[in-house]
Amino acid sequence: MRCIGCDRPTDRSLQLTTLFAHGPLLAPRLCHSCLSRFCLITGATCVGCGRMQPTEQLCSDCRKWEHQGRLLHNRALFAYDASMKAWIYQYKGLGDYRLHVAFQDLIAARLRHAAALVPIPSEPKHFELRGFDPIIGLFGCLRLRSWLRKTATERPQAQKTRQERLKTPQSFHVLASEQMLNRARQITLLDDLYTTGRTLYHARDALVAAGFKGTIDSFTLIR
Amino acid sequence: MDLAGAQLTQPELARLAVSNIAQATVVPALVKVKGHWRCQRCRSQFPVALPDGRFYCPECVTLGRLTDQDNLYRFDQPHQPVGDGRLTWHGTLTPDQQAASDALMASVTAGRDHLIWAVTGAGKTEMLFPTIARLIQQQQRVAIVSPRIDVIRELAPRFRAAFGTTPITVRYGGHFDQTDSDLLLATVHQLLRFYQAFDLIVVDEVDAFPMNGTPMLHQAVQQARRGSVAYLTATPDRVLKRALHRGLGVSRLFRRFHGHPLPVPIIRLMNLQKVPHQLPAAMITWIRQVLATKRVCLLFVPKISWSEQIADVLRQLGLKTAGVASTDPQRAEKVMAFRQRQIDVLVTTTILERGVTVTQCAVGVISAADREFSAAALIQIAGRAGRAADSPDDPVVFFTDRYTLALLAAKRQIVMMNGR
Repeated sequence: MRCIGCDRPTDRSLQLTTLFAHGPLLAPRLCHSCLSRFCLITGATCVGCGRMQPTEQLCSDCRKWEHQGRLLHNRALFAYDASMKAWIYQYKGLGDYRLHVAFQDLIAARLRHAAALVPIPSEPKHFELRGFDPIIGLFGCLRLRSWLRKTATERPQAQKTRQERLKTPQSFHVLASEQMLNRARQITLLDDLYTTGRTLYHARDALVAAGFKGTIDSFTLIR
Repeated sequence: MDLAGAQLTQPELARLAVSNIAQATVVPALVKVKGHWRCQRCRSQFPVALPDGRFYCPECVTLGRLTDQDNLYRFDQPHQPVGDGRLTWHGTLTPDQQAASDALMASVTAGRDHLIWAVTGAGKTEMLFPTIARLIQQQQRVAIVSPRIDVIRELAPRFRAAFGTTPITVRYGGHFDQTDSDLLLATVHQLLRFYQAFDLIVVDEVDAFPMNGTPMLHQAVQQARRGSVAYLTATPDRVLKRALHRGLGVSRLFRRFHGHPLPVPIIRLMNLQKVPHQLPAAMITWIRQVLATKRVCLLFVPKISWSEQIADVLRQLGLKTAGVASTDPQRAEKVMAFRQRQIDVLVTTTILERGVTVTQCAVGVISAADREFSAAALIQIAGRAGRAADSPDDPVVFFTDRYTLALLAAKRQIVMMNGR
């Protein structure tokens, strides 16, 4: 198989542990040198949002979220550095859908034991423009439950300042019935990027308002 | 604004605020040929399906995505000349260069493609000047392209000096501005924004990455041309050599402009197990000896991560060192500092293997047996040395722990070219 980053034969192969583990069997699609351009999150992180920091304490952002109910305990794979920005630009900005499998093996390994995976949906307008849903593209290798719908907002989050982002109003609707929601004990929300946390906390609030009683956490590709 | 010859997408038209698209020919971006989708911009035939049922072309996606619902706008009105093409370069060509220049002129007049097979440092750029000047004086349009940004950066000031009265457009790396000039200097990718626009396209370093192994870029040249194409290289690949039998004109130049032979590389076997954390003592001695002869030293390494690591090791030895790689945002500044001799040793990946001229510069290749160094790459690297007439014998050393065919082939070809 060829690396989708550099089109050279890949030097990462399936591990024996993956072969016998629970969940889908997914091959690595990036070679070592392409993967090493990105900064994997390792070591101590904030327990609230998963950002890399020297200690495991709550960061100042998460202390504010703590006042608005339980924290999401977000986990993330990569830090948002220049090469990740470039990758996201090619995937979401240019719309190069080929890249959606780039991290499938790492994502599947981390979410193997998650109960119910609920992706953050993209706006219908953006879907029309891109021709794909970037979150479903990234996490499509797993069994997803499309329980949320997003109504159109005036501007995408990426074009706003931090303060404007935090003031974004709720735009999520829950499609599933209360009974169906509560069949799951735990929900993991999926998104590509955790920046301020506003989007994910809105999604959580929508699920709670719809009557979900279990715990909600989240997983993003990037923090 | 003159859009003659441009081939643009809808977002590009919007960005340039073009309102008058009545004169453009509108073609669908992707067409179905014999049941297969084909991109009309880059001619590749492997579009990718999107979940909503559309298809897009992944080969040229970096210039803006094209799907089967999009259109391309081709502006095929005649080009309005803006410069006079007067040559403000007053050097003289050597008899060899003159012969090659005349052969190129003859090929272009006959509408033939031409290969200039010239050793590194033969003065290829100067040979082009008379032909380009004449074409522009005849109100024709010329593009000089290369797969390497560094080559274009290096060429731009030289062309600006040689054609002082002719406006020149320089374009690379996503930057898009006006299209109205008689002479374009650009990376090969940029030709995808033109359709049958140029009477002569000069492709410098045609066998360099990424043009080798990317048919899309060769197609980009083909669809932007209206007349001849001239290929320039020191190491033509098999495809070009085969084309010689099929009517491709050729000029061979196996002597540098100063008349001295190419420096022949010395292959030195040594234990390289501790590289890049530690360098063999013999290598450090060599570097010190080189610096003692008032030369600077260019060290090539096979991996991006090595450039900084080895630069660190040398810095600890008290040498003025910098490391560059394609990922380095400051690489232009570092190369500039090296050229001005503020830096003595520059550790680089193969990005500097071509088009870079530094006078009195010794060249070393660390781990020359690595697969990254093909024979062509090694010949190009060896060609960085001995560029100036006052030090034609700069040393070139390949440090390696084993012999490879590429190493021997590179050395043999250099000896062969010296013998002609």
